[in-house]
Amino acid sequence: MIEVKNLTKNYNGTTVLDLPELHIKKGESFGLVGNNGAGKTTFFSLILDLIESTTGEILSNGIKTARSDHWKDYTGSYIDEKFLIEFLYPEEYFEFIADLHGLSKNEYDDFLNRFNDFFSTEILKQKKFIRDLSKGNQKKVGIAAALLAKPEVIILDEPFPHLDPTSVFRLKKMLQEFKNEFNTTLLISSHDLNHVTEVCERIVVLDKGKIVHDLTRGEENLKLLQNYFAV
Amino acid sequence: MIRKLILHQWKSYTRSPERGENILGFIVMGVLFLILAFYAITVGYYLPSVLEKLIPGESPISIFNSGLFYFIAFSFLFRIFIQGFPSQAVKYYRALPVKRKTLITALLLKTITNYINIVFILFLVSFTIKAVIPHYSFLSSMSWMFSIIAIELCNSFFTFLLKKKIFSKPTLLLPIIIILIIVVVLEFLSSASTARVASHLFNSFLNIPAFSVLPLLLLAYMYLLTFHWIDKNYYPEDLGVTKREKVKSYSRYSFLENCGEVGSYIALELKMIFRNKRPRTLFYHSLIFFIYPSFIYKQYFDEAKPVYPKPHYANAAVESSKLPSNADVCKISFNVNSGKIPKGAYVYISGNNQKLGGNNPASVNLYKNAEGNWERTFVIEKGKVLDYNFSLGSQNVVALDSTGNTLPKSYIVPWSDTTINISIANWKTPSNQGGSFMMIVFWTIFIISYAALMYGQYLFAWEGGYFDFILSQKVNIKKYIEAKYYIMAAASFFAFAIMMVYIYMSIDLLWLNIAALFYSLGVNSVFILFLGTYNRKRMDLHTSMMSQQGRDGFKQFLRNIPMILLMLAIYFALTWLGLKDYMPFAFGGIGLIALLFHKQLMDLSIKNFEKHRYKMAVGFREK
Repeated sequence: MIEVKNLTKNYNGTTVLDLPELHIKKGESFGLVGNNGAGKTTFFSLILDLIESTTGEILSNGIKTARSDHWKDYTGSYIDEKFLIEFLYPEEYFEFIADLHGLSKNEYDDFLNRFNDFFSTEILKQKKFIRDLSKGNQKKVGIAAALLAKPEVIILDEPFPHLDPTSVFRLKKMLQEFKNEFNTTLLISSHDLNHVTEVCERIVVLDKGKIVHDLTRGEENLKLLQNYFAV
Repeated sequence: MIRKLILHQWKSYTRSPERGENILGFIVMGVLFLILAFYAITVGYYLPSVLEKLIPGESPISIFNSGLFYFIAFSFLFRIFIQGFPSQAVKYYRALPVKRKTLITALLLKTITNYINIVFILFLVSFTIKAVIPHYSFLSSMSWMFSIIAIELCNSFFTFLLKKKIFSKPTLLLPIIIILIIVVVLEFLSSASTARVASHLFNSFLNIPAFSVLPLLLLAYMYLLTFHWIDKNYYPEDLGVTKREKVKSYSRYSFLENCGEVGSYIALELKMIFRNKRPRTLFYHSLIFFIYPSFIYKQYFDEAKPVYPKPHYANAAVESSKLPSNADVCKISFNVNSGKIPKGAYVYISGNNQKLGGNNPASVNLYKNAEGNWERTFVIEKGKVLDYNFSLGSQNVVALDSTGNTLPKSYIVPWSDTTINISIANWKTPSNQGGSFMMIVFWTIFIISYAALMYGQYLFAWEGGYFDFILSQKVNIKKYIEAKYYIMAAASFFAFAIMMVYIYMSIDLLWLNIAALFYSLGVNSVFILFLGTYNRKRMDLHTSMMSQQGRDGFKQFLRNIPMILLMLAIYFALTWLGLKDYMPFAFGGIGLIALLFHKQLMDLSIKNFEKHRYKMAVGFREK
């Protein structure tokens, strides 16, 4: 689904990301962990064509993502609050995205039903602009928007912080459902090992832009990871 | 009950959840409506004199009557496209114990009071007062006026009935257009002129007031027919108002959002403009800007219009007989045939003798005699060279001879009583002085494009806060930029409509403003979008404009320099070619040409955007 070839990104002469090769299969749930500055957000931003790579390329479904639009049809993402249009009501924001993807009324209602629990009562019909919502609720809006069009690929950067425990639980459940129902490819970054290992089968550890571990989920590997971060 | 329904309608305008936006929209719509009403009344008032000039010898009413048929036909076509169903207005009451008849009456009242009808009625009343009432009896005038209004309202109901059918079957429009074409062809090729028959009919309302019963009966019939039709097709699906339900349900701009992708971007931009402090203040600023022309235009037209000083009145013959005479002096009389001079102006003399007022052009005037010539007699010492020249009391107005050259100073050495006869062919008044005319052209273009430039120069800097969203979502950048252009075009049109208020100062302002509109749409708007692709700093939507006025004001100015340079280049090129007097045409023409190549010009901006997208994104991410 997503292929990385000789990818590097330099800022002012320092290499912040160096991925000679990486392959993420369709339906795989891919967890990216690492400390601050490991290059997680940089990697996701490169997939989403938000920044330009220094060398190399990323292919999505066999086509380069840089300067192209085709991947936008099937990729949902939420990196940070720059993905939110803060002066819209959440409903308007969702409707706008549904419109971009040409969703029908039925599909849109289906989305609202699916997210009803996740939103609890604080997001819809509140007559509040997105900018007036709490940090946690803003994040919920962004994540929901990423999942809205039932994309084949979901990219979420640090989705768990700021969410209350119930919401974290519901989000994890929902991601699982997406995977089971639509065979969605998940790319999730986190610095919380517990959350990410719960959702993802494959865990990749980044350090200073390089892959240091590429593991599948399992008791043994979890221990290894815990030891790695404990130092 | 009807009154309550109308009250509810009013409340639905004034009490909406997003009051700010709604009130703004309300004001904009209100201003537009007032402007429209103002035009309707003005056109109605001035049309008679225009018609008189157009076809001299015939009365304006009969000219009007012979053209009315075409007007009604055109209005019918126009209504089919513009006039909507007001049926949504009563949807809340369907399930309430409100009599069905009351609801239908409310619906029909709404049809009658739509803005097209109101504007037409204002126009017709104004026309009647100016052109009909002074020539016909009051009864005839009223009979004529109400007949025509009744026919126009029938038109309105007819459209109501027909529109639904045309909506479901657009091909129905074809026979209507074919019939109209046949009528027009017959009009020109043969004697079977429908318009003439119709004009007889309209004239008969004037001559035989009792005839006006016919259109009024027709109106009553149309009313009942429509009433009956709605009664029969009472349910929303019958009226064709339940469109396929779309995702849109929440937004106030659902009309736009149903207009395809560009429409949704426009709606998003409008929300951005009216829900955030910075762009909102910019919008208000651009409204204040419209006061400027009243000063600039006034100053210009005052300058161009010379002030003619008040002369001293006296009778030339009486004054002449009282003049002293002795051997040292002689009588010099001037008799000037002045040609056509402006209303209220007098011919003045000046010269090297104090008696002629010295060199002050506004000191000594001549007197108009019975033949329409200007004369005055002066007593002058003999033997001294006397020079003299004529003016209208203002340095700016120069006398011209029959070849169109400036009349030079004349000389005489007075020895005996003499009468000097002089003929002045024309006067040169200082209109269209190069420099200040340029200022007028520049100001007009600037004011019409002002809001568009202010908005367009930031291009995606407005979206700086969610630029990553735009890059990663399925947003069509080309259409997004197009949406921005449409908003700029709408702003220019709005400015143009307001500027029309100033044409009372001079009709030249109409051409000038049309030219400025074309230039603004064709050149300025596209150019500023292109420059906008070099914007790397995100716009903070929340700070008020005042707080960073100084720094940003200068930058804004800098960004407009290329546009000013382009306009100056055009100006100097025209001056160099000797076409300075055609400046409005040149700017309008350049705008039109640019509009022809609009797509190609826009592609330049889109290409430039693609080239700089990452740099823009990096810039916008920084706070």
